[in-house]
Amino acid sequence: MHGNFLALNDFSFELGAGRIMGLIGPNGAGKTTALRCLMGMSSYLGELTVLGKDPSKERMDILTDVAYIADTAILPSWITVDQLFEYTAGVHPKFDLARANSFLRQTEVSKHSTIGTLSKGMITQVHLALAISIDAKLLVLDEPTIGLDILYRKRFYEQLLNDYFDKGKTILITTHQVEEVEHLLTDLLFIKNGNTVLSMEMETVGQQFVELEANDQNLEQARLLNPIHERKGLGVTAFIFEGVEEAKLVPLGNIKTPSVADLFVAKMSERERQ
Amino acid sequence: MNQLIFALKREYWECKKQLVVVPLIVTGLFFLMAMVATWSHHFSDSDVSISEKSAQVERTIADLGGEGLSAPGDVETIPSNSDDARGDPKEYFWFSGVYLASAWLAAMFYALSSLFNDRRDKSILYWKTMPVSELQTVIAKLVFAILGFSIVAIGISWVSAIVLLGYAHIVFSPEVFANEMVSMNYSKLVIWPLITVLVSLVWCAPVFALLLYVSARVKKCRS
Repeated sequence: MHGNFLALNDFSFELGAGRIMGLIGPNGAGKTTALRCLMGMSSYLGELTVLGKDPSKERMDILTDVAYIADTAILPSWITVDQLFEYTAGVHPKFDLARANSFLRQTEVSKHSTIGTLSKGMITQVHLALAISIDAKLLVLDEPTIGLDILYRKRFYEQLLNDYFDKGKTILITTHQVEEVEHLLTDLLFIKNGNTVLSMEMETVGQQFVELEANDQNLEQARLLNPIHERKGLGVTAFIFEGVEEAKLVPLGNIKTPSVADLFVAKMSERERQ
Repeated sequence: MNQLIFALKREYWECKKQLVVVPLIVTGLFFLMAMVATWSHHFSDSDVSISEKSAQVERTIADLGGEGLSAPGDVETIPSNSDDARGDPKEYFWFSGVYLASAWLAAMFYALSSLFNDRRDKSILYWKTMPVSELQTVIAKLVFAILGFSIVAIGISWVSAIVLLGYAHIVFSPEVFANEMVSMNYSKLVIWPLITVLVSLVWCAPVFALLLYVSARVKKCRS
């Protein structure tokens, strides 16, 4: 709840260890609110457990096992990198200062730099150094690469996988740049207006959804099979179907598994029609 | 306890300029007043002998911050080491009082903006992801507002007093500095301001708590 506004409603999911979930939704869908509830930073009604603990009552315990990266703007601009590391090492029992320094040495960021003087890409690297140096079971990423150029974005996810992720850890990520995280995800959760629109494992996306690039002469036949989305490209009309047998679609054109971005657009527009 | 220490450190890192700027401005004003007083005495009383000028200026400096400075070269006016004759703490009290008052003013602005600034620059989102309770954060800010600013102001006031005496030493006579350093009642010099700070800790705590509350509740302007 934000005042009288219900930010999340009928919203539920479970996520186990060793999984990477993409929480994807349009602006104002409730993604950040959901993450803040997980971190014990927002109040909520309902049942919520993070690592077996209740965020509303055991926030401090949860925060020792959860690391969080939001967009670059949240690190205080007046602090220097070494002060930030010193503070985090002082208050966080699971922060490994040596690891953070080691990670930072691989970047162009100086320890003595003030955050406000760094570029967005550099700030993200500082934030990543902080997050991966916490021996956290859950890493929460809220639009972590917003405003970064493509080189920094690619590097961010590479470092995340190489330096942080293993089978004992879990990542929950929200982003608008779906294409860049698609190959990382094990689980998918679409949210709109505070409601769950889609929740599934990535492995099953291909079993439930099919994209058809229909031949011109088969367009009407394709429409009769109730696609959840239709889009026109350069000389191609593509349809996305949910729960339709592939055998019915193969004669109509080329079929493939839809990308997460296309599936997202399809599910959002389907919801609008409803 | 460790978390409280680091929370205080964080406040210090954030506000170290704020901490010293106001006491340094006060020092600058005192020094300016001392210089103006010096030159006005020099140029207005051309008939007066150097030793009389020195005595006048020392009285001026004493009025600003000293403790009944003695005239240079006048052996009889050098205070004895008896407790009564040594620097009267009341005179130092108003000197340090100016510093304390200015420090409290700075601390009030700090308290009024501290939690608001955390929200305005969104850094609160980072601080809240650290396993530090909100109560600890607020206590650190409260302690810093009440004690941090006052202690730094007192420290600077001591240094300023020595600088002013040094000024008198350079301008008038080497004996001024030596006499004052000998005659200074150091125990009272230290105890007075510290007592003031401790008393203010009790009296001002609710005011600073209210200011922090306002800082936490005030709404951000939509730009």
